[in-house]
Amino acid sequence: MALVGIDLGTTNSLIAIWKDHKVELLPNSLGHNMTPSVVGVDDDGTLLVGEIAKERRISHPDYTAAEFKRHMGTDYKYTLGDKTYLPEELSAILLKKLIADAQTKVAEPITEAVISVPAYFDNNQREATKRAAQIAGIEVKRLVNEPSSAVLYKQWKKREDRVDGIHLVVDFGGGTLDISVVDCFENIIEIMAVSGNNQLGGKDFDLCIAKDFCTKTGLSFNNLRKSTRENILWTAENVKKALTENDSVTMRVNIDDQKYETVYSTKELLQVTSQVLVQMKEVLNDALRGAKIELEDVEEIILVGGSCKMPVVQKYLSALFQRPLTIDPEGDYLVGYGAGVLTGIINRESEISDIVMTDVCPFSLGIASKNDKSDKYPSLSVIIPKNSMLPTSKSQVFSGLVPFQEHLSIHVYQGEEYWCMDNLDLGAFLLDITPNEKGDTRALVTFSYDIDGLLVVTAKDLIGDHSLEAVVTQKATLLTPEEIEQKRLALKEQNILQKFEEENRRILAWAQRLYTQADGANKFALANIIETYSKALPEDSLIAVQKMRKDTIARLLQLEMTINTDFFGDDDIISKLMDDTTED
Amino acid sequence: MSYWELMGIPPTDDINLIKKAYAEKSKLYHPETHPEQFQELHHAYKFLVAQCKRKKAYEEKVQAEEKTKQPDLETLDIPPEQISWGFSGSTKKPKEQPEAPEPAQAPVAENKTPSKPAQAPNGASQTPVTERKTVQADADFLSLVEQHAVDPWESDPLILQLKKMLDKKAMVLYPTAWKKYFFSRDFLKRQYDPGFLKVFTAVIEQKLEESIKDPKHPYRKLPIWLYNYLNIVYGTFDQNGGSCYAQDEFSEHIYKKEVIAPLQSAFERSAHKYFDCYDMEKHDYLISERYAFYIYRNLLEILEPEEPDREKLRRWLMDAFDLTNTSHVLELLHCDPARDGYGKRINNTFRYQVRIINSPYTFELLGYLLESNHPNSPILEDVMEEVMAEYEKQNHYRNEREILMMMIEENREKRK
Repeated sequence: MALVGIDLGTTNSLIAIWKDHKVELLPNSLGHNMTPSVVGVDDDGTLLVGEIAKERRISHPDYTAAEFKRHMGTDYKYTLGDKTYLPEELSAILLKKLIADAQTKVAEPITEAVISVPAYFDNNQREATKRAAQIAGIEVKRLVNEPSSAVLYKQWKKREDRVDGIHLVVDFGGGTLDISVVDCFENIIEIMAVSGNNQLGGKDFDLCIAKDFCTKTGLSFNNLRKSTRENILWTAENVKKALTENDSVTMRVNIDDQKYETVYSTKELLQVTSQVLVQMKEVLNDALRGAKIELEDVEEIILVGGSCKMPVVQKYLSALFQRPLTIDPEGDYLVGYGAGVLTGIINRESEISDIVMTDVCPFSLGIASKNDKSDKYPSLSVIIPKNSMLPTSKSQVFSGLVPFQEHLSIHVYQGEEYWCMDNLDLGAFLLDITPNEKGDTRALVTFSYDIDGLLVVTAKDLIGDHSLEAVVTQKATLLTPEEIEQKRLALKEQNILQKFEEENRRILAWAQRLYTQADGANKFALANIIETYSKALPEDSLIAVQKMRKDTIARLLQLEMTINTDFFGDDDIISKLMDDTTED
Repeated sequence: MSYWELMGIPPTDDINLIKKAYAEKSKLYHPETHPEQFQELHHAYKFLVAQCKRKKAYEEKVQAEEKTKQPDLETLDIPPEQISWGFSGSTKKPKEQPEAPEPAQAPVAENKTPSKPAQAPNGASQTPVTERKTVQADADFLSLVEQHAVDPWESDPLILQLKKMLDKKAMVLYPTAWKKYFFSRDFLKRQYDPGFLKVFTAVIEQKLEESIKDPKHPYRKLPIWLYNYLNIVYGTFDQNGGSCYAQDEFSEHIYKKEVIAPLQSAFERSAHKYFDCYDMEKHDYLISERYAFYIYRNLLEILEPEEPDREKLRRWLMDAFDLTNTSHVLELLHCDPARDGYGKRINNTFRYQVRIINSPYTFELLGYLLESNHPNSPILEDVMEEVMAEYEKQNHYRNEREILMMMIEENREKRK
């Protein structure tokens, strides 16, 4: 029985394992450590996962789903072809693929996993992640918070010359922002506070750029076709990435054989994306407040996640913290590695068994209550406050509200808002209480929140002998256990592409993506390639296919360069001109 | 097992030492293998670190203040012209030894390790011990007291002051003196300290036991404000946090569990003997109190500044209610009989601060309001009917009830 650590990211996913006294990443069937978190459906109903699906995103937007982590725990439905999928089903498909690929490198069957989730995931989102694993047929040994995972790997790696003191982990990924304040000393990694925004990430930068691009070129982003929008977003992402190395980049998009272009410099990017940065600052403030520390107390700042690679983000952060920041070269892998290290700790591997990592709960938990009968709506009485160490168990006494009250409704909510209705509803239980004349029968309500985020509610009538014990699970609105089992069996039978075919499909998908972006003659060239390649596929021998594949890849690379190059333009000249004119 | 023993180190003020000890011990009680023990250990660690931080912060504050001010014990004492009795030697004493370094370092450290009892004993600490042996105290208290038979806190100026205050009836019944005592910075500082609290509780306990046995004792029961202060100190009624004895939730949790809970339960058990209105709940006073304020709140809404009889009303109110703090009156009231099954937050710290001195006045007042024909009086009538029903259950004030019911009915007919 093997236990693996999985970083189930918004844009990319990783799988790692503790092996031979160190942590190792397990590459996917294409030999890449990172698998894009994209799922698609082929015309014949085959599921496509990873790079192939990502390539098909522009050419087949209706058959591809990405960033489904953003909708985890909701009943948002993705339509792929003629079928609809819940986010957890898509995650399950991705998990299944990750594990199937990893299984080829691991001797024992992989049955258990540590899965990383954003620290700021609420109960529903965590439950959905667990369900995804269930559908994929693996047992979740632990859900670990992504920043905690990253800092765990950092501390383990630097065990010889570690830095004691308070660390601040900024995990700014594709779809989520997580900030953790961590106290590290000796063998202890203690998360002091977490904060975050699970609807803020690199994709928001892309969106900002794409929208700005549309405004500048006179397009209306919302009125464009879906595939065109995907195309602009794709280009925006590339511009964002290119801006990490260059000072200015030209953004070009071909829409219906018409060229649109704008130049972006780092300075402009800062302007365009300032609203995202301001949101990030709010989250930082919240985390520091939660940890009750000052800015000077922060010893080290760890940047994790793709969005932290952006010079804009780095500049902004270093201005906020008034110190130079360096990004970890392994930034993309920290969370995955950390999950791998945690599997070692859970398996009690002797060389890391001393490491103690304690985490906190990201949201307050409490029950609905009223101050007095005149309250129109119930408000939240917090029982386990935000940033309490896990596991934890806390109690509070409540009393009846009206004379001869017979029940106490224990309605559990998660969140920070005053009114219950503004918080996340986790379900309700009824406790019978001994009625009395004044209606002040008291009941002790205890919340036990364990390290896996499992909440057990116990309540006891302090006069009579009524009591109640219940486990809070997500309200049964989404999937029942039977449905999960059904989906698990269905997925087991479902065909996920095997390695050989996968490579071919990836090339085809790539060609099709280029076709969408290309114009004029290139379009014909690509159409030719696609036609010959797809026709040749089923018949030819293995060697012939491999040769053809090689040629096609070379040709496609060439074409991609052509499509993305401007014949007249040198980006630097344009930007210099732009600078000159602005200076004047 | 004290927290220091759990950590396996002698008491210290050095946070780094605590952290080291915690790191060492956590290897023994790893959360993966010993989750329960680890939780205890973590609580202990958090508690001790928080304590150190508080101590440091306080010391810094005092040092900063010392530069600008005189030692503040003197300013916090009750002015001698107000209370010339029983307050001379001991309170002036701290003047010679400013409280910055000495009392601040005194807490838990010493009294939790029985190895250092020799520090304290002097004349002052010996006498109460012998007295106490003669007293038949509550078992819990006795054991607590015995544990700390020779306690450095016995000679603490605040403990001596407490004894003096409890000795004189005039002092006991002088609310300002207690207020100053409980809100003096020295007390607020010490009340976090389990050692101090134990001695503090023991002294009160012993004095009260004495007073009950001796019929000629200057006082038999303690006044209610003292009970309120003690309530706050022990956090008896303040279940919702926000109490003044702990600054953050984790230390509050440990503090409640380890220190307060035993003291509190003993305190609760014996409280009805000592406080002159603890068992008032059984009395009809309490019911009339609750409803009187019910009405009072409605009155606040009804009364307008130009009301010609405002002064008269005010006097009635003042006579009928012992209003020490009107803002809390509102908190006491429960209206709207909607039955929706939600639990109520328990927050009755101020319950005893307001009470009715004389119920019949309430009826007079109600009568006045009914006659006034104020636009809001229909609401008031509903309220009153409820009150009457309550009184009827108790079979109290039959005459007044009947009169009022008649008035209500008349009013309603008039309106029709």
